[in-house]
Amino acid sequence: MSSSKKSSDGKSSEIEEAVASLTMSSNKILLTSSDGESFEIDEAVARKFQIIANMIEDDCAGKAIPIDNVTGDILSKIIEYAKKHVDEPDEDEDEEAKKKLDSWDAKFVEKLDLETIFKIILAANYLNFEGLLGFASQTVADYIKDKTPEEVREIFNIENDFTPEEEEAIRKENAWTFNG
Amino acid sequence: MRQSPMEVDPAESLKEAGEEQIPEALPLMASSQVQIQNIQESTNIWPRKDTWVNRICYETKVSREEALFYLEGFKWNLDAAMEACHSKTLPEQPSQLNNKLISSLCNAAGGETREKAIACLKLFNSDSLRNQQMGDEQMDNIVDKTRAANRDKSLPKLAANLPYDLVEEILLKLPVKSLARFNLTCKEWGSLFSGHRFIYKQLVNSQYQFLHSRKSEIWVVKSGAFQIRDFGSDEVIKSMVQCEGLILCSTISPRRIVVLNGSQTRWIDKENLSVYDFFCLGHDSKNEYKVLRFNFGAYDCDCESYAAVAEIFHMTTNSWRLSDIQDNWEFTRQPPMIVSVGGNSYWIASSDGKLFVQSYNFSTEEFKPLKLPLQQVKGTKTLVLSSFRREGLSLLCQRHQDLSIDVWNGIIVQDRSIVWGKQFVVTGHNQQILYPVPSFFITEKKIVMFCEELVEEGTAHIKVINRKEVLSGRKRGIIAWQVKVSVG
Repeated sequence: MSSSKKSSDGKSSEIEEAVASLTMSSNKILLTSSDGESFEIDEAVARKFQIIANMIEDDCAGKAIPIDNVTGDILSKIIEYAKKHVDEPDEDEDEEAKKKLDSWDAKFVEKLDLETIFKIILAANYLNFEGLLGFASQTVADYIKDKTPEEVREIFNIENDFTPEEEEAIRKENAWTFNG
Repeated sequence: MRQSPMEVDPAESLKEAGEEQIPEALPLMASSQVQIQNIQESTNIWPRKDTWVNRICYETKVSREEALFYLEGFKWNLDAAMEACHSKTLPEQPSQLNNKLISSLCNAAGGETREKAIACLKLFNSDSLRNQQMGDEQMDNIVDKTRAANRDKSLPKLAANLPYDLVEEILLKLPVKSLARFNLTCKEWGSLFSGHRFIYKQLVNSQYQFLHSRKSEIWVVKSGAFQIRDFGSDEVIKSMVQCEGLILCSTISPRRIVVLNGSQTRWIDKENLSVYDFFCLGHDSKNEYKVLRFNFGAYDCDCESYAAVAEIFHMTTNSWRLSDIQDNWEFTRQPPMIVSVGGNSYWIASSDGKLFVQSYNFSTEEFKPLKLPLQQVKGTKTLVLSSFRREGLSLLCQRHQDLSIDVWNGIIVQDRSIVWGKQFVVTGHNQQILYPVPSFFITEKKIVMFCEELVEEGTAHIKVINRKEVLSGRKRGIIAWQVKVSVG
């Protein structure tokens, strides 16, 4: 990481610093998906993925970084989300920008089927992209919140290990959650 | 001559017109099914395509392509096509021009039948049926929408491959009601939900916001940040309640009420307000906001009788009307700390020496007492109520005998009773009595309390664990404690 440079008189040169920061912000990083697709993105976008941010900090990031566990179609969606969220507005300061971003998020997720969202959760977890992991998890939570236990078992491929008697007892105890 | 109504075999009709046959997407009628009514000229039973197309174009002022589209779609039933063209009602089936789109939809919907793909197409973008020059972008848009709608149908087994901690991450974001229902999913989930670790993780996700008022100022403490709203002049805020982003204040000198929504201010007209009035803010099941004003006798007004009174103000219709009140209870503290959950109001009250939660339901417009979980707590105590994850209540109880603090969380169930569960107990050497009575919220292994304390002029303190910040230029002090919790 470039630290602020000093001019000959010992004072920080603002121009040099500005140039340095510009250079840094336009650094490109190449990500390669598990199926060989390549994506060239700005360093600022790549830093949204904590795993890559750490590599950059430790000077381990070469020009091309292989993302072994993520396919191209999923990586492209994650990059699309990261680009949009690279300069997230402050919640209190810019309410209008926040609304626009929320609206974009809603449209982004509307296009995805559940299987893709699960793949995104796995990939966001691998890349340590907290923002997207939280958002995708919330999307699944919103999707399942009104489902029945039977439907949830099917979605998560869970076997019912209750006896009919146990099930009846729990159903009685939580009867209020099944209406309305 | 108009032949009406008439159904003909479209295949035959097109053959005569020298056109290729309609693709299989349209069910063809067998010749034996053809019904011909009111035919006066048997010489031209199968009119040329052009005749009907021209007729529709002439009568409905549409293009030839659109006329042809309607005729094809309505199986060459002239009357039906004409009527549909007038009313712009779509035919049951799209024309062959949309085969590419239908195929894309079939794929998007995971190998669905053409019929279902067509149904999706009609559901999402009826105009596209008419649009012959549809761009790829439009087509992609419809396919994307279909894919999203198809989520319900495809239950991916991929979810089974999610590591358990990621499944937990999803479950942490569920509302309390769903969690209670999903106890029935499997035993592993049931034990997960009741475990302390899960409960704490859930608490850390919850939002909190403290509101405080002094003189004409409103202080909002949200995640450690201060925002100040100052009415200025001589307004003095007497009481303040909040409900899902709205804040209701009652002021003295002059006596009036105001509802704040972000930067918007709405003063509510009401004559003869009393210093003995209490206010609640909430909404009914239709999300219509209301203000409840009640008192146990307005002794400062020129009333014929000083009986208890309750009135409801409807914010949509801007009108007041009388409501029922029960006056066999009293507040345990002044000013009362009123908590809003799910649009209804809750506070701690007492009757004949017994403590309970009094509630007001803005849908049924009635008061209802609810139980507190205090059977085992003997002796003098300080009780404070707060909201829990916007869906339930938290109760903090400090026994004056040993200064220990018990915390319960309560879920408000369908019939508006509360199911309480003890969350944790705080014990420790450096405990102090909670005075003035604080607002609080619970986070992971911590109770964060917020309470006003006057300090020397011009400074205010926020104390979080051992960190102290001094905000200069303020005439009141605020202390927030974070208390480490020992899990009980």
